[in-house]
Amino acid sequence: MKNRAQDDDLARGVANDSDAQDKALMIQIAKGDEAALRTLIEKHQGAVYGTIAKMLGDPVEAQDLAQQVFVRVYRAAGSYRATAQFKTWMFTIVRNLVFNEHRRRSRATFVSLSQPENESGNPGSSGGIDLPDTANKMPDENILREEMLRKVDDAILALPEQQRLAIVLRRYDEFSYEQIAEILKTSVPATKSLLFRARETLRIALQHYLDMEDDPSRP
Amino acid sequence: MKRSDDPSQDVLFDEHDPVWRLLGRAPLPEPDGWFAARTLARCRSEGRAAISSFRFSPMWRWALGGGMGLCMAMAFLVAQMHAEQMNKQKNVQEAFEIMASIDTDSDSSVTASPSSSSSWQDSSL
Repeated sequence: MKNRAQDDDLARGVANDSDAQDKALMIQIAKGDEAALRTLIEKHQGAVYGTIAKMLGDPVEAQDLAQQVFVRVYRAAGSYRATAQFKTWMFTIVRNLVFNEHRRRSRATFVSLSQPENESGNPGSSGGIDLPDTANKMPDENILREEMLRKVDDAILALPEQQRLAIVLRRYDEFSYEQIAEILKTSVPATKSLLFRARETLRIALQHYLDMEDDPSRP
Repeated sequence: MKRSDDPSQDVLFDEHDPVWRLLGRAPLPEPDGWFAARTLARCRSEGRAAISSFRFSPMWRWALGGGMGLCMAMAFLVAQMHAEQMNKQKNVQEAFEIMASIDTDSDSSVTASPSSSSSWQDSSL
């Protein structure tokens, strides 16, 4: 328990340092320092792009939205006031853009221009002859793993948008409940409730894989 | 639901929940190596407003507006004071003129009838 408290203190200290660094970078960006902007982008691109990609399930759209996030950060650098943590503020922009995109998508109907998926449902494989992967010693294991990853992503995508963002922020970006509540513009108990419901939904959707984890011999 | 109200139990729930572990196996996708360069280029082309937003940031707008308001208030006050002073001067001048005219009247009456008293000494006025 003592170790946990020490770890938490250490994590908080590192987060504070990182936040101070982000705020200093924002001041530099406001002065027109391009190198500071590059540093900021390189520092946060993984979290921003990854979160948006998980939220939308579309890497091309995710790239465009992630770029828009940084453009907005750049534009707002002059008027940026360090009232909240930088990362929380930036993810509020992510939230707004992602939710707007959801609204836009719900209004529009999309017709895919890409090739239809083959029977195995693997969008990456060609429509021609499937040659055996001789370089890989355990192809079945790889296929199963890829399928599991796809199912996990699909299960996340099937969640309502608030629950989805809450779970992605908590699980992958390791935000605290307070920060998630701030980003989602809700209360901490409501955030906990969102996360609880999301986890229960995921538990049901991924039951098969959870059982496989408990008993690996099961097909 | 009680379980999620207790933060200490939440942490345990996160770490030991199989769903949490399963989610961890599907990590966040990474952007390609050119993402930062492309984003920087887009910021350059789309984000020119950043500099102007700094120049006309709320602080500057407030300072400019406040300064202009202060100048207008000062100008109004100075004009008011000037008008008041002019009015006062006019009143004094008028008073002098009245007194002078009374004096000339009294002087002329003295020369006309030396026995009669000055208007200043006349209690009937």
